[in-house]
Amino acid sequence: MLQTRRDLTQQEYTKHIDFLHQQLVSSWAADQRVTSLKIAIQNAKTMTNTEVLQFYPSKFVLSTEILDTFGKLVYERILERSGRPSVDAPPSSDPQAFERNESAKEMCKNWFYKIASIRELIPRMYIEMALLACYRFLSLTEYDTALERLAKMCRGIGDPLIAAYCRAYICRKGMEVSPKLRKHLYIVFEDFCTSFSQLTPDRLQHILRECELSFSEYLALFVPALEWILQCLSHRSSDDTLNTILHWYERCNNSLVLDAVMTSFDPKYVSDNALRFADLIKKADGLGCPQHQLYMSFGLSLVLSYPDKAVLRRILRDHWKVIVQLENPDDFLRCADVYIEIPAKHFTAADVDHLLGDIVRRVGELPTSTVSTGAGSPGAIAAAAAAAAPIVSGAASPTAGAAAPISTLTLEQALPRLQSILDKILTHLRNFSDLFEMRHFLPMVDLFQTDLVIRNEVCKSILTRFAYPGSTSLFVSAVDRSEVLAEATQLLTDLPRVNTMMYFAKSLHDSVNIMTVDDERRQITELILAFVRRWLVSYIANVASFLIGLPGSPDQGPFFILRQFLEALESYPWNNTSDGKAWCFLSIMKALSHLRTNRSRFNYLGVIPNSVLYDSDDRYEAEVDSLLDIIAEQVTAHLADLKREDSSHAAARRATLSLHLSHILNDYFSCTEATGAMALLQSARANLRETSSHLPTSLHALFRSDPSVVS
Amino acid sequence: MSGKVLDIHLDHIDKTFQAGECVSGTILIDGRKRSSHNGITLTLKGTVLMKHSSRNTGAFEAFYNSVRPIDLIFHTLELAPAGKLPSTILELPFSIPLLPTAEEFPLYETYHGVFVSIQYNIRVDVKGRSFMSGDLSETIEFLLENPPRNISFKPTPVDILISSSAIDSVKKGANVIPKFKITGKINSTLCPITRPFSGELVVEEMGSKIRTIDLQLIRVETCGCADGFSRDATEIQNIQISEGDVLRNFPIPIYMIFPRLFTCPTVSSKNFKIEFEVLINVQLENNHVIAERFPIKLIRLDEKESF
Repeated sequence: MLQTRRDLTQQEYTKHIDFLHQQLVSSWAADQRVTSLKIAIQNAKTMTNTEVLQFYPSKFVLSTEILDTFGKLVYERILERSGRPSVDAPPSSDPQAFERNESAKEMCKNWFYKIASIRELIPRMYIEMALLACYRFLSLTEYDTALERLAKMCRGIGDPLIAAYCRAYICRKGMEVSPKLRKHLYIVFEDFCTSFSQLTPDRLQHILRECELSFSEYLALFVPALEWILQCLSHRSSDDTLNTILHWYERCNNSLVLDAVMTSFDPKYVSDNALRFADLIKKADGLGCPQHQLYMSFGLSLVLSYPDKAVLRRILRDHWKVIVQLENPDDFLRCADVYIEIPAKHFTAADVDHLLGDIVRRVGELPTSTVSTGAGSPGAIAAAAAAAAPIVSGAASPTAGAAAPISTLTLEQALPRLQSILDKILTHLRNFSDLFEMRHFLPMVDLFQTDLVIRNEVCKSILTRFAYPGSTSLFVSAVDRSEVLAEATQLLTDLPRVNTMMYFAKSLHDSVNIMTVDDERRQITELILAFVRRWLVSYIANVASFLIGLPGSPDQGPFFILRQFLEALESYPWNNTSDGKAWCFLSIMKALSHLRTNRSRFNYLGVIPNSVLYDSDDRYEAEVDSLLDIIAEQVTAHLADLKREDSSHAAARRATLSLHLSHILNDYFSCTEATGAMALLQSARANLRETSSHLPTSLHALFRSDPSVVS
Repeated sequence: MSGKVLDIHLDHIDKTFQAGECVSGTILIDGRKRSSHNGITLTLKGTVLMKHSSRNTGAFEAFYNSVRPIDLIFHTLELAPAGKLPSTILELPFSIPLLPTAEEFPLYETYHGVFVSIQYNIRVDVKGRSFMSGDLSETIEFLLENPPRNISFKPTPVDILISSSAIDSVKKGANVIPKFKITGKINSTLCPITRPFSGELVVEEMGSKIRTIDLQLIRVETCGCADGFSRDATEIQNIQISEGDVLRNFPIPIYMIFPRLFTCPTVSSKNFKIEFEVLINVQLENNHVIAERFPIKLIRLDEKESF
């Protein structure tokens, strides 16, 4: 009835299985249980057939689907007979219910007796596994003995691939009926390793030739089964589990198994045992899974959960040495893409720069493609897509590791990977100016010249990181805002850097053409504006402090120019997604407060300052206070806007602004004891208390240690 | 009552009753379909049926190849004298103690074999009054089990050792038999019928590829008396425990459930015998077969079942 033949295409086969599935359901509905069982057995028999090896994993999925349906039908029928709403419901004590229950039990026994007489081992096991849930009708303790026995019975399956999938099905069914049971999982994995250790290209020679498979392609067929087994094992596992697993793994020392172990277990387990894994990677046989794949999987675990920093540094140093030597540039870049995150996250800019140097050198050595490139050119896009493909396929794909043609990687194809590396650096960047501390940063950006599409993307990322320091990263979600101004000022003082940033902004600006869609245009505009405005903030702060020092006019008051400047600031169309305006006002407020408390005099040589001109004139102090009023009002309004926004990002911004505001007010208040400022100070403190959890850690400490703020 | 005019329902869902206890149930007669009868009788009968195989006997004996059956239990009950039936469903409950009729034979357990069968039936006859309402008859088989023996069970393990060194040198010289060594253990050759047959098998050495390893459950039925007897071994079931060329030194579980009806506790009486064997059957890719026989004894021990 059911034969898998070479002449059947995969689609035809799938159709055939679907047909069987329908037949099973319809014959069950027509009360033809024996026919249903026969179909289920026929279907389970296909699991014995390895004629088209490549198709085996898919076949497993299709066939077990039918088996699952069959198991469900039998289960529901027995449940119906028992008259209970669910098998866990206690059987009612009245005699009729008891009888029904006994009758359900008898029915269940009949099924198992029937199955036990199936001649062939593999169909017998699969059908029993499909009906595993029905053991519940007989006794509560039946599952563990059955699972353990089934796990051991797999040893009778000579073909290692069939055995591996049979084991995976046991694990799957075990998880379904009783996820707490683990003993069978250990047997399954131990046996898997034992049988895997005996796989050698020599032993499999004729199978491989027959199916036209390479040895590693053949091993890759085991991956889905292996991953399933490991996933069941790692479910709520303990340290002991991992120890046991590694102990058995050492029986086969196979790279493919090791990779599956690293990807299946919680990264924390991997990082807790980082040195052991590093050692195992060195010892792995490299069969079925290339070495660089192991480094990648390991690196990913370390990125997600990092060990002790000293250990991490040692591993990074050792592994990077190996990674740099990887012959295939694509393998190298894939590893680099993972490992760059380690120094970016945990170490200094110099460490990142060290890796970057090797990356830039390797990428620089790549040949450029002959296809002409340029923005929107189909060649560039095709190349980008080709290079991006391996990222999508990932490690789970059974053919991964066998792909990636060596040495054909061109510079253009490497760029998406390079871009991903840059993005990771930007994400974890603590201080924007660190970027310019890296000697290899600009040479890296230079590499993007050949592909305008990617270059624009890169410029966008850099400007975004500059404009919205908090928004690009999860880890530095509340970037120290107090450093923002400092950063901008620092940039201002370094003309080449400003020039570089300008260059990024300009090239982004120039990329806009008639083909640019509105959304893109808007995004670019916002980024460039944000950059210009950031610049503006520190510029405005400078101008304002200059204006404060100017002597006033006898007719129009001491701060007549500053007043006009403030009006101009107010009427300026500020972007309401940024706090630029508030920061400008805060810096002016700070200067005024210092002026008011006589702590700084803003004196210019040869110019008589206001403090002398209006010495002990009440009008002067009143004017300063009124200016402070205007500013405080603006800042408070902005804080209220942020509060309405009600996002954690807004809360972080509100927290930083409030902290600064209360510092300034505190200063001011301690010297002047002006009662008007008191209410404002209290409101700032309330704001701060509400949002203090969003403060960056450095500021948080400050907040804690400052008694005036807490009071 | 499934549309039948006459039906028999047994009180036990699994139709199994223990010797020494009562077999009980209800007879159902649909009075709406039949108004009167000429007497209702119930017959309980337990018999050992035997036949000689033609292979073991000559042509003349084969003509008489069924040996006289042995009645183990026989009861007839008159349930009702001739009369009318009410126009509803008539329910007649019954309960008959299961005690041996013949002194020399106990009640053997139900067994369906090839040359020996042990069956217990309940038959109900409703005699008809006229030509138009003829006789009605219904027979139902129930299963008889002996009560579990309350003894402490001591397994009798047996080591498995099948090796080429045990084969005589003539064949070895022909160089057809590859070198091999199969070891393992059968947990017990004394087998409680309700528990699985179990053990493990290790292929330590095998010079050729293995195609399959099977467990064959065999019944050995002997019947006859002083006149001569026949003894036949036939297969009950064949259970594969290993498929393909298994790993060496990797213990494979031996596991088999004894099927119901086709097995019973080993019987050895003066007229017939029912015995069982397990054959471990190793088939090689070159069609060679290596087999080893293990006689086993089935007993009814306790109520713990395989399932």
